[in-house]
Amino acid sequence: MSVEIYKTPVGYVNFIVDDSVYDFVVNNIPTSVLHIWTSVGGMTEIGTTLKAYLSAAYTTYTYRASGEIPQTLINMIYEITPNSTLKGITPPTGTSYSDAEHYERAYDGGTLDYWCYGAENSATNMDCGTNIVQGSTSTQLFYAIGRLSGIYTSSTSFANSGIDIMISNEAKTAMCSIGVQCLTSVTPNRMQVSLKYKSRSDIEKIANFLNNSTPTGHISDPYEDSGSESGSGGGGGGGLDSVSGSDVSDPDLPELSAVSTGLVSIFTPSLAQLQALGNFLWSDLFSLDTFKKIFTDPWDAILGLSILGVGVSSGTPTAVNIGNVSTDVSMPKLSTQYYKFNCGSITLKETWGSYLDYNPYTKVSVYLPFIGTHALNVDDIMGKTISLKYNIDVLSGACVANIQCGGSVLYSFTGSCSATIPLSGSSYTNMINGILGIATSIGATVATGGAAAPVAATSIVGSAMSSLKTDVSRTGNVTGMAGIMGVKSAYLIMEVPRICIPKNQDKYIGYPTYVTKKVGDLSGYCVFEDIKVRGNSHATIGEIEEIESIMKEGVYL
Amino acid sequence: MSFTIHLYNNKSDRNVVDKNITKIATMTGTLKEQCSIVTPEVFVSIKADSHTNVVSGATPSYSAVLKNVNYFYIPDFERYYYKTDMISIHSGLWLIKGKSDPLSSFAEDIKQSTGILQRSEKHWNLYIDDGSLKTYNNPKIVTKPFPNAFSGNSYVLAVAGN
Repeated sequence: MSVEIYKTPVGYVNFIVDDSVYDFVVNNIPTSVLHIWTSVGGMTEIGTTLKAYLSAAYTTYTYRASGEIPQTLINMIYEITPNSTLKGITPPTGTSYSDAEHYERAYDGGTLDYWCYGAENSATNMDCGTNIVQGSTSTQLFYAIGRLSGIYTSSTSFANSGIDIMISNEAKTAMCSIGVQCLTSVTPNRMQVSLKYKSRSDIEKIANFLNNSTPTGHISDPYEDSGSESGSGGGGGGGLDSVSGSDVSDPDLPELSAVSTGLVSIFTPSLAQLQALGNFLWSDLFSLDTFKKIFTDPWDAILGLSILGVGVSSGTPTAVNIGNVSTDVSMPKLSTQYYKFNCGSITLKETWGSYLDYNPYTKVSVYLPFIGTHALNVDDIMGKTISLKYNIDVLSGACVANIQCGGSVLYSFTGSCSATIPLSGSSYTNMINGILGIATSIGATVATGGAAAPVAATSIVGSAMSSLKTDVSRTGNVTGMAGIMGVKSAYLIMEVPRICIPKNQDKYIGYPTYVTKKVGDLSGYCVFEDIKVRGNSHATIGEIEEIESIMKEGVYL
Repeated sequence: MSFTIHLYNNKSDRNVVDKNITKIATMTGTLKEQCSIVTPEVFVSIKADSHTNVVSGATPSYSAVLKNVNYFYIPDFERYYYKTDMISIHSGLWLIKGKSDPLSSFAEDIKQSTGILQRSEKHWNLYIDDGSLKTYNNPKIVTKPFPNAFSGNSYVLAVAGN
């Protein structure tokens, strides 16, 4: 099982769950963040009165960090887990506790700047105030709290197949989560669940939930339903239910090809084979009389020679005939003209779990080898798996990149992945005449400009050629080698906004809701779009208007 | 017209329904003639040595009443009021002016009401774009390569014939 989680209000999280190794990588934590934490096998409750009760001995412990481990953290590790082994770090003096002392030894986290422990064969309970919010038994456990921006990595293995996880409503977070800035406030993206999970599949449920997949089981959705799209009580007919369609899958390769006609043969020779062919064509062994029975020019029989930017699988070695003249040179002959190349897929996950993950706040473009860079609509691809496949025509070098988002191909871009090698003086002249023509024209124009004129001409010519090259690389035309010389890996370029959440925004401004609610069911800060005060009120009309005005401005219930 | 008036110290903002109020005294007051139920003016007797009109509870200090009372409730009107002014009429007689606090006065009616919640502290849907989430002007640029890259090159020779 491998799970990636990107679900924090601030920061970027990569959480990979493997069969035997649990790794947490936390980076890009803004300096404004007070606390980050990770946990495996245990519940976390963040508060200034957090206590951990450790009820067993600890035999092994491994901690790695990308940067220097603060001494404060080291001291805490040894205070709680004196038997731990920290590589290359000398335990502070005077920190030795017996197993008996460990039992129900409580550590008051205080400000919780750094806190970390590891254990094996241990049972843990965490206590926030008077409420036990977590009970866990695992073979190894890692927990860390720190305000340092960096990479925290924990590796741990579980001897038992089951992992106890309790997700506490009080804790306001999930075990398999990582969060920030949570000492006193609950940030919006934190899921709140109140059930207990004990199996690996349950972990997957949590992961799916955090990944914005459809919640399963009993995980509650913190998002308020804003109501159905169709609504009720008027308006036109229809609704999203009537918008349905079928997936458009990746197209198959064409059935008809030049190769299948038998009139054209395609080889993928090695350099040595090409040299051998050249030697033959320029030798006396080449029977021009035989050749001229069909062609007037030997080069007419060679339809093209090009460099393909893609390694093509070798065909069957076959003797090459040029215009019915046997060359005695054998080359791999392709049996098909078309190839499909699968670049693989990328699953795009939301960063913020909000509208910021969509257009126009998040922007995505894709670089396609032999084609160029194209913008994608992030609304099309966010939360979906994007698959990229190329259909390539070896003969012409034409390629089509089909981008499948979800179930359908939503984008198709064309290009060329081959560069023609000139085989005759005329073809070479045709290829470069355009460039030289531009150069000659510009050079003649500036020739009267004095001594600097040649330099200027050269410069402008260079610019013109560069411009042409740029066009080729963007459009994938066969005009040059740009595509072959460029990056051959397709990749997405994401522009992700950096969110700014002031402290206690939920209490001062709130977050968007847009749902109809009974006021008595609400608490905290609320702003109403519209409200009608009901009941047998003896308030004057002026007072009712004042109530409604205040509630539209923002009221604390 | 005489009635009971409860004097409070209010520590909550105007837009809080259940206000944090501390009772200072319960007295009897007399309504000034020709005043509104929404903005009443009430005569109360508050003397430095004693308050002869205290209805119940311990007698508050003179200064406590003068300094701390900023909110009052008149049961006969079933309304809470903000104290807007307090005028000394003559020795021991004060005129307290108020303005109704409809939010607290009719809290139960409000709680029975239904409205469209636009923004909230505890109920939210962050996929609604209302501009409440601010962003810095320097977005993070991330590249995500597809797992399989093109590799190698090939010569392609096409000739006429089989």
